[in-house]
Amino acid sequence: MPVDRSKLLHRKQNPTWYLENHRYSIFMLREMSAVFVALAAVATIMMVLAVKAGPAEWERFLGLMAHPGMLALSGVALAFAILHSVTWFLLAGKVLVIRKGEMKVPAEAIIGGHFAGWLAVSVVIAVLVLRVL
Amino acid sequence: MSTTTAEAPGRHAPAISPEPLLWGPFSGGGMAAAMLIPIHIILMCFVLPLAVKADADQTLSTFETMQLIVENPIGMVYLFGLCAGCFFHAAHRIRFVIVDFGLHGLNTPIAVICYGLATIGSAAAAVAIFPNPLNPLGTAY
Repeated sequence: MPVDRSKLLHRKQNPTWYLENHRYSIFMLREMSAVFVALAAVATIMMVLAVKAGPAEWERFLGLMAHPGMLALSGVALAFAILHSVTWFLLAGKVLVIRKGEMKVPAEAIIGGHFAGWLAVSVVIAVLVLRVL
Repeated sequence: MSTTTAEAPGRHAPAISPEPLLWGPFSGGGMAAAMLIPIHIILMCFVLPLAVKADADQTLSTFETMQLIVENPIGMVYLFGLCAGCFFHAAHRIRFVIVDFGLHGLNTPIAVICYGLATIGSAAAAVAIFPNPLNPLGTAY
C-alpha cells in the first residue's frame, strides 16, 4: 500500500518555533531581511522616476526621504541590509570552494575577500554619486 | 504512447524540478543585494536627503549627478539588474519563510505568488528605468 509521504516528511511544527532558540531567531531575522531588500529596490525605482521627472520631483523625493518616519524606516532597513550582507559573506566562505592548484583557498580568505570587495564597491559608488573626486 | 505515471506505486518518475533554475536568481540577487544595498540605502535614504535638507543649493547639483547615472546605458542596466535581482532574491526567501510558518501544503501556490510578484516588480523596474513608450518620462530626455 502506498504511503502518504506528505505525513512522513512534515512533522507538526510549533508556529513560534523560531523563538525557541537563539540561532533560529537569527535565521528568521536573516530571512526577514529580504523584505527590506525588496523595499530598497522599490525605493530605487521611485528614485529613478523622480529623477526622470525633473528637479522638482527629485526635491520632493528627497523631502519624503528626509521625513523623520521615513528616516526611522530607513534605519531599520539599513540594519537588515547589513545583516543580510554579513550573513551572506560568511555563508559564501562555506559554500564557495575555490582551488588554487592543489590547495583549497581557506574559508577565511574567501570571506575576507568578500568583505574587502564590499568595502571597495561601496567606496566607488559613494565617490561616483557624491562626486568627491 | 507512454503508460507510465508519476503516481505508480513503488516507482518515481524522474522529477524535473525548477528549483535549480530558481537558485540562480536567488544567489545572484543575494550577492548583488549584499554588495550594493547598504551603500544604496546610506546614500539614497540618508546622505542625499539630509545634505539637501541642510543646504538647498545641493538640490540641483545632486539632481544633475543622478540624471547622468539614470540616463547612462550602463547605469540603466546596473539599476535594472539590481532591482530585478533584489526582487527574485526576496521572493525566494519570503517564499520559504511563509512555508516555514507551517503552510507546507501550499508550497506551489506560494511559489507562484512570490515569483509572480518578483516578475511583475522586475517588469515595472524595466518600464521605469529604460526609455520606452509606456513611460513617457523615460522618453522625455
